[in-house]
Amino acid sequence: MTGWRPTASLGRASALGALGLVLALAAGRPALAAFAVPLLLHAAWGITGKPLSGPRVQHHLDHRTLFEGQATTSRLELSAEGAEHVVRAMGQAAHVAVSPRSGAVQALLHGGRPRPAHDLDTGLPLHLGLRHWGLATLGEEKVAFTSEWCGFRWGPASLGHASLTVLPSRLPGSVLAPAPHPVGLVGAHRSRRIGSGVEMSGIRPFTVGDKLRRIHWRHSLRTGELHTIVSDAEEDAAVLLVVDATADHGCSGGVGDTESTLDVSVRAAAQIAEHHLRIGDRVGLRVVGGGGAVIPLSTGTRHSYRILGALARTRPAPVGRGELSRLVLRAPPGTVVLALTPLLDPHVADVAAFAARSGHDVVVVDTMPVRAEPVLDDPLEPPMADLVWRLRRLDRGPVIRALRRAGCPVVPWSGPGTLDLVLREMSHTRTRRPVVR
Amino acid sequence: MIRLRTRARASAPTRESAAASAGPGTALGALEMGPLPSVGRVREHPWSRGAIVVRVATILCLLIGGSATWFGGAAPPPLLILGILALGGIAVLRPESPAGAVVLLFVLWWWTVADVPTWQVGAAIALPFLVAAHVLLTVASLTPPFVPLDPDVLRLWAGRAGRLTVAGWAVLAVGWAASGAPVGWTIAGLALIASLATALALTQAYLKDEPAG
Repeated sequence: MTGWRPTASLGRASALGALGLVLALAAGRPALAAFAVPLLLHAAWGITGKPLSGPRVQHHLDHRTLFEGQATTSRLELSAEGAEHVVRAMGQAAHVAVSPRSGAVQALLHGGRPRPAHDLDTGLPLHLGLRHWGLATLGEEKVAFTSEWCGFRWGPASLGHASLTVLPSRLPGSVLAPAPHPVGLVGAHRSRRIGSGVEMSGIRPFTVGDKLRRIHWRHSLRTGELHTIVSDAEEDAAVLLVVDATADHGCSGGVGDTESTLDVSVRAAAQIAEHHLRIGDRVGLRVVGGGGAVIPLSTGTRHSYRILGALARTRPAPVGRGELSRLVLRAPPGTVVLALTPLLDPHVADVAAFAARSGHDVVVVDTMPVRAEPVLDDPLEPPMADLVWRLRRLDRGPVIRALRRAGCPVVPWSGPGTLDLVLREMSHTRTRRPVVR
Repeated sequence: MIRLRTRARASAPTRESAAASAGPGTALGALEMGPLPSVGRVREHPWSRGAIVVRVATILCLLIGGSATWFGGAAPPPLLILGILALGGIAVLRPESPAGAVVLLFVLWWWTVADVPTWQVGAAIALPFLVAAHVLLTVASLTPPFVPLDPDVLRLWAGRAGRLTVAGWAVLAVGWAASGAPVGWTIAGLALIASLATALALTQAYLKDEPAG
């Protein structure tokens, strides 16, 4: 990879020391000899301090998987016999904040290891803040060692690019509305079936087989007959998230900054999935476009990470029209389909309308940021760019109207609680469809 | 063709800080984060204040070291000043380049041709500044210019510069003490002292590396 090479400082000291002595003798200037002696001494100490073996160095990250907005630390494991000084520097990477700001740290070595000046900060740590979901590739890292008296240098040697998975933030959502038509076996949603839930739905005369603990004693005493409490069953719901990753529009800034359409889609999907998985619902994921991830309906913490990982791997990539036409959601009856799309491409809207015609409860979540601005690849006059962008946004109007006509409500994503109203309305207004098991 | 479809993520740079105390997995809400730079622009790291100070000090040391012949009655010519500024500027911009050796050689050449007495206080004054210029160039070459200076590194090299200066002053003192002798003999004596000092330094360094026991 690299070896110990003389530094410019050693060359300067050696050459000027020798030349100084020669000049002093040739010109009869004793002062030049006095100038030359310190340089010769430096050269002598530098030469004798040459390490006999190369250093061993490895870098590692404290965490390989993080949520966006979290931080981790990159450390060096090094063993450098004879080295006196080490410096490591990390290149810039998109959406990665580095501390210290320069992205570089240096330290004097004592016995080939960093001096324990700070008890916890050994290993030349670089603190990294990940500010955007996705597969983050850190900047190229380089490390260089210097021997005693800066005589020889090893490196700078590249340690390559480290990478880690940054999951989209899953801030707890607060969807208060129940799922429209839960069809599962256990869960937190009130069913239309009578069952052994906690939500009271009425009182009826006691019949053989009823549980004694459900007898409503007050009503029984008043009427003179035994009455029992009737409650709704509680069932889980199935939620299928369809994420439109056929394109990414707008400027992607990072946590707390501007969001692109795909940012909004992915973060909204993560929040919705997290909410439903917390209350025991089954959640599936279908990414239309980049990656094309298909996660079947399931529940649990492990499934949550599976969905977040698939979302983190999402990349904007177009899909062919033929592929879209063959897109089958494979959602069981009663599944709530949530399509997250900026509606700039009508294909995902077609998929949503088809799902609605198939009998699913479909909600289209509009993930177009309010202040989305296009970032142009090609130089274009700003007025022309604005005009084109406005036309693209106006094109969404007919698509939204067509979706509503097809029975798919369209709601713009505005954070937790976005789906409350529309889901509640769907629960109240729609009649229950027969479910065949 | 007008392209509005973008993938801004691939070109969005950031170089803002997280607090040094950030523990693993710490929420960034607790970290000191600055605003992100505009998308599409990669900002270069600015030079650290310490790196700038080191480089300015290097040029000042070179100027003082070259101008110290004034104490012997030889005013530094403008060409010397300009040469030091030009060569010194290149040297501090690229401390790993031969420009550092060239600018120091330029100063030594001036001390060779300047019309000054053989023994004068100017040499004793110039010596620490020339040693400091060499050491500062060495410190500047240790790290990229955007890396802040490490106080430990500065202390280490300040001590070394002091030791080297004392060695140079000792040579001057010995030469001055032997100033009654012919100049040729004085130079030869100084060269002998320099050789002995170098041999002593080498011996010490080798002895230090011997394993204990």
